[in-house]
Amino acid sequence: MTKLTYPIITILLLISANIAGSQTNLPKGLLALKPLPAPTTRLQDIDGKTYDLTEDRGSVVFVHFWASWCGPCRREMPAIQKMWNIMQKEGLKIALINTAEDEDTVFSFLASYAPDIRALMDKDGQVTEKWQPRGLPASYIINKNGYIIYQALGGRPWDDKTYLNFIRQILKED
Amino acid sequence: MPVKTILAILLIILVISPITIINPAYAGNKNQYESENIRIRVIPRSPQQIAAFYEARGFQKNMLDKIKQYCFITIYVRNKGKHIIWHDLGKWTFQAGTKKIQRIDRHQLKQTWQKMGIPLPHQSTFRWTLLPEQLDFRPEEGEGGNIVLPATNENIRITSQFNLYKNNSDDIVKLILDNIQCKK
Repeated sequence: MTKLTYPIITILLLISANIAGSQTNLPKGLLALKPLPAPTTRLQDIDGKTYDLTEDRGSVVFVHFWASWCGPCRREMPAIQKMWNIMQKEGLKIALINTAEDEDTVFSFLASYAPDIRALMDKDGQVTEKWQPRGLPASYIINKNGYIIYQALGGRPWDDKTYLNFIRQILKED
Repeated sequence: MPVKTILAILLIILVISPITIINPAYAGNKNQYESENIRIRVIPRSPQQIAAFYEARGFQKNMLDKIKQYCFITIYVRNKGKHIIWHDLGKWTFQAGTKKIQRIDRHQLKQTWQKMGIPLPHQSTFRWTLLPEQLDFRPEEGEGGNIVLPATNENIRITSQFNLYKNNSDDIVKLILDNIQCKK
């Protein structure tokens, strides 16, 4: 062995330990929950059509609560749009729920930040209450059986490779 | 530079990279506190500022008039550490000048809005702009919101309290945020 062998082996071990560590952990800011049935979520979209979360039973659903006045919601929304552009083709469903704002506000906000996602209106804020988010924004991942399995803490970079791969893993596993 | 030296430098970088840099408390900014584990930011709002925010959300005049009678202070808390920080707003104390004052909690405010017949969407928006009453702040979690106090011209002292372990009174972290003004 040359004099360089030991430093090279040490470096390779450190790199592999780092990679292994990052793969076994959840993406930053995600909490694994003891599965709980998702609350009844029946809302109208911005065009007045009714949506019920049970329609998406059998699919993994990304449920997101937001409001236009909330700074972290504004910062997070473009990442959700980008994530959605990629993941809808892979089978993910989305329920993008606005908390207690009117159609004009929601329409003008989403036109700029997430024009391709169907907006659901929790007009009086009572559905949001049932989910008991820690704050706004709030995101949850629902499994194919309609159970909440993950919750995100605040806004997350959903379009980042780590989060996309994590969602892909759930789509495969569930 | 010899290859051996480059490898040695690389090794040093890899070994020291996980070390966390500890930030000292902010100097010269009385409305902000920062330590290794927590960051708290305090932003007092004038009645005009806070009323303008809610007015832009379409709140009706009687609700705005009531809001203007209170003192709103926006608090932002971030857990910078690696362990849960337990927060209970009920344990915080507030003082205006030398007198203790009582915070107006979300239940009292909800009752006020209900008595006034405020529409549910506005009650809901108002509720989400308040600081949570209780929360187990997870590592890297940040939440913010308003606390509501009776209006006062005196300097306000907020004694905030966080616990590093649930229901353990030995691990209390007390932070005093002083000379906060609720501008009229």
